[in-house]
Amino acid sequence: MDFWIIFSKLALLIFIAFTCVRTDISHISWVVFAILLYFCLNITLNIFKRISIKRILLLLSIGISITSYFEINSLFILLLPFALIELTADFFNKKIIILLISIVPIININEALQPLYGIVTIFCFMIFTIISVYGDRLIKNEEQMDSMRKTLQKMTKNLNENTEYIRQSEYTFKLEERNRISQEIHDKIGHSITGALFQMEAAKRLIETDKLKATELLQNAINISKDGIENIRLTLKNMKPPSEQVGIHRIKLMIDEFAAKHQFKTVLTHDGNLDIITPIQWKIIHENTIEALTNTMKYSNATLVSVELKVLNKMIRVEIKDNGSGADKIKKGLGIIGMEERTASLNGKIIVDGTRGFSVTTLLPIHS
Amino acid sequence: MNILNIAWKGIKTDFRDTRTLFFMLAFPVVLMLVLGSALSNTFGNSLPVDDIHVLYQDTSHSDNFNQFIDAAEKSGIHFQKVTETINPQNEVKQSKYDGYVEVTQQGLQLYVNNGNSIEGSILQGMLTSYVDKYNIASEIMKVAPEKLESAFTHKQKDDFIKETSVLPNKQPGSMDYYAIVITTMIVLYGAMSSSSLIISERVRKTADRLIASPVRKSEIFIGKVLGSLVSNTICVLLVILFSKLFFKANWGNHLGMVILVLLTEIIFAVSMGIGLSFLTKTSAAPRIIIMLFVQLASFFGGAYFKIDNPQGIFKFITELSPLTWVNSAITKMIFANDLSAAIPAVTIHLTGALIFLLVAVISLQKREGL
Amino acid sequence: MNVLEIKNLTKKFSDFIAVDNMSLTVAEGEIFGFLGANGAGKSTTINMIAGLLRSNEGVINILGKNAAKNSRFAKMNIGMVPQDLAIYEDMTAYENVKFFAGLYGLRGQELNERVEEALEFVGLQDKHKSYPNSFSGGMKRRLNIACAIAHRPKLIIMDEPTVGIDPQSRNYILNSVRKLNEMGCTIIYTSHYMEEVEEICSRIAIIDHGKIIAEGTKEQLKSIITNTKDLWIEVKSTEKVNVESIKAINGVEAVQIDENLIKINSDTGVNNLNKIIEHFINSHLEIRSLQEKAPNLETVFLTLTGRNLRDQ
Repeated sequence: MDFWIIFSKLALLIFIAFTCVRTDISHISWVVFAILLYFCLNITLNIFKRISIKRILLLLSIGISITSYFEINSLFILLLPFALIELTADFFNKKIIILLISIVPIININEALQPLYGIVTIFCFMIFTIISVYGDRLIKNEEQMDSMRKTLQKMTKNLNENTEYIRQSEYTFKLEERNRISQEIHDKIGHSITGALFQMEAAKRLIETDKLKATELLQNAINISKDGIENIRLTLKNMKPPSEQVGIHRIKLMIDEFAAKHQFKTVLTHDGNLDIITPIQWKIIHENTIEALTNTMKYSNATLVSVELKVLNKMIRVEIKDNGSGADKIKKGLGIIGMEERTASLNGKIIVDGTRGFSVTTLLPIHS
Repeated sequence: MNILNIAWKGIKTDFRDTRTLFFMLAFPVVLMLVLGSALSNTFGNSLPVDDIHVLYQDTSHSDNFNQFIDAAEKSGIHFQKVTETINPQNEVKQSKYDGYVEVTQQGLQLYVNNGNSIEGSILQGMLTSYVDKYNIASEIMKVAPEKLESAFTHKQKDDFIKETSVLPNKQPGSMDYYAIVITTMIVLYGAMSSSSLIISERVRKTADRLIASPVRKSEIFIGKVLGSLVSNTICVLLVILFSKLFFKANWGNHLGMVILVLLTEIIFAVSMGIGLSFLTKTSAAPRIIIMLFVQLASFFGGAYFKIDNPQGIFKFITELSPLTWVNSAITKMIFANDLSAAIPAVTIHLTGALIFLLVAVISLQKREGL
Repeated sequence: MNVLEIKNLTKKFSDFIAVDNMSLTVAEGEIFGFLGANGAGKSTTINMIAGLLRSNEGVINILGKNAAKNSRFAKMNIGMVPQDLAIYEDMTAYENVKFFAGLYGLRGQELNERVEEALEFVGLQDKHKSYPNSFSGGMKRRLNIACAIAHRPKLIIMDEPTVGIDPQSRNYILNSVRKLNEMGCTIIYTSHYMEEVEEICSRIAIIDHGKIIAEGTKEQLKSIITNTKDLWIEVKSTEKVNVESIKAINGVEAVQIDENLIKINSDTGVNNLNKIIEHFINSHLEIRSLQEKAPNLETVFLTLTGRNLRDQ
């Protein structure tokens, strides 16, 4: 930014220098001196950060240009507007005032120089305005970037924490599940087996003396064991999640929920033998469907979403399609990349098409 | 080797294209013929002057002027007395007469239409010498009337001043002039064909094939440029030869140097065509730009009519035309044997060519394919 | 040996992803077909293989060598037949082929022989001195091919070589492709004419939105969507039809009767046509017509992508 101001000043200096050289003035050494002085001042201007020093330097350059105007060469007045603009810009917000102040000296200067002075002032003003406007914008953008970077950092941290949390809870769940199973085994099956064992021990002792009693005890043991087996079956059955929570039902549930929340019509169709879809494939189908529905909700202005699940001979095809505005050129966002990665983990493919509404097709190979 | 292959193919197809041939060969020859003969008046050393008609009014009451009229009649200057009905000044203004002379006791007054017209100049000259002689005679009459006879009868000496041209016979005639300017103009038009060198490959899709072959892009580019240079050079040489043989155009004693300057102009034109074709997006744009540029350059470079001593802003505009430089360089080389005149033209051409070629090379490198 | 190996090839045109992380291999001697709708990324892929476009990511190996690093080697071994006619209208057929073959370093006697050979191969040997503007569409297409094969490339890439020509020329070109293949060339063939691809290609990749969504022989591709085919047999009357005994024939999965039409759904892996017909004859059923409704590549494409091959 500062570079362009310096550059404009340099251009002015070069102009003055050239004009002086071409008009063959006598005291060229003074001209060089004034130019050098001005040059030094304006370079130092960019070195100091303190605003008061800057103002002093600007005042000095105003002084130089005015003195040189009277004493050396009238052209030096052309250096005035930039210094004036820079100086006044700190005090006034209204750009027009800055322009007025910097153009005022025109009244007092050599008539021949008035148009040139006017043009130079207006150019300086324009350059300065453009630079300050864009400079401000740049600073604003920088700030925005900073805050975004911070947010990003926070998010990443959150994400890491969440992953950790998920791992923790996974472990906890496993632990809980193990506890539950051991509890069950201990409470029910353990008791039965111990009971049966006692009965059988007693029968073994009695088998020589009281055959009848022994047979009765053995029958008892058999009954207890039967109960135990039934218990094992029940326990294991308990561990299997209810059917509403898997497969097509889960997807149906989710779609209905989605439709209820977001004013869409939804259609779910399926075709083929759903039983050969493995749980991990269901998981991916489920996640991709969520993602696609979210996309639809966010971007499409659609009124109808259809989810079609087809089990072909060697491939599972899930298409989530809306009747919305679609997109001619699809920009891959995180959502689509996520779907792609998930699907690729099972050697599947994702086709995203935006030509007629928006559709996401998941193709998963069936391994036999 | 691939470069030569591509260049040779370019040359071959250039000469098969009848349109190119017409444009590069027939067009300049016809243009030279038309302009050279139609505008020959503004050139040359002899100007045909028709009979001159002059109105006069004689109030001097002497027959001196009548004698002059009789004498002038022999040289085709017809004097006619003013009648009451006509306004002599108006007649002259409307160019019905070439001049109007008022003869009074005090002297002669001549009105001509245009101060610079040849007829006017002739009249002026004749009348001045008439007046001078008359004045001399009257002076002699005053001093020594007897000498009058001898003063006017002895053979007049009229070779007081011998006019010698600094460059005898070395002013370009119209054909010489147009041979040069049309040739340089047609060279500039070479940019048209070179602008389509790469574009045509793209349009015909043969660019894909070229890129798919194991030939480097640089080889294709150099081959293309080389081919265009050679075919343009051949065309220009043919035009020069033709104008020299059939129009007897004067190409001077330094034909080699002239051709060298023209060669740099060809390089400039070809590079300009290629450079522009890379700068613009559409395939038609470079043609339009070149057409406009060459038209303007030709106009201000004096390809259609000679521009003598332009002044001020007009001079600046003419100097913007590269044709101004090359034309003046070649004219000076031919008619003033000034070989150093070639330097500015050659510099301009080569610098321009370099810039355009750089543009082309840089954008070619950035581009995928041709 | 693999003539072509592509790994994770990606090409973006600003935001638009034309080729998306594509991987594939083509072995020597194959006729490999690219099947896909317009704009699916076939031409972009081919242009990258031929070195016309640079990839954003990924590797292309030609005959085992990295094409980007051994560009000359790769290009020497590839013959490119572009989709659009890429011939010079202002040069004769012979000159066209000679010019392009000359770019591959062929010179002198050898060059002339190869040009003759290529022109003869595409059946233009008696059109040496003719200019392409006097040619029919099919002849131009053939010249387009001749320009690509004169340097005897190992890998010939044909991008829609049969667009817009008459059936006769098309057959000629398809036969040339086979002949080139028999002579030892590996061929990559793109088309959106499904029948052509199905007819000549030994392996096919279905491309959509810059991705290969399925790949394999045509049987493999068809078996993705189903392993059964329908046999529709029209008989005079269906009175004597014994559904159970038809079902008993090996491979038959289901039988359905629809007026005079008996629709037999049967495993594609079992060749039971003879037995079925035998059964009909033995049952004294008069067969009026017989239709096999096997899936074709079009169906495969439609089923997998949800769109027709010739949409847009």
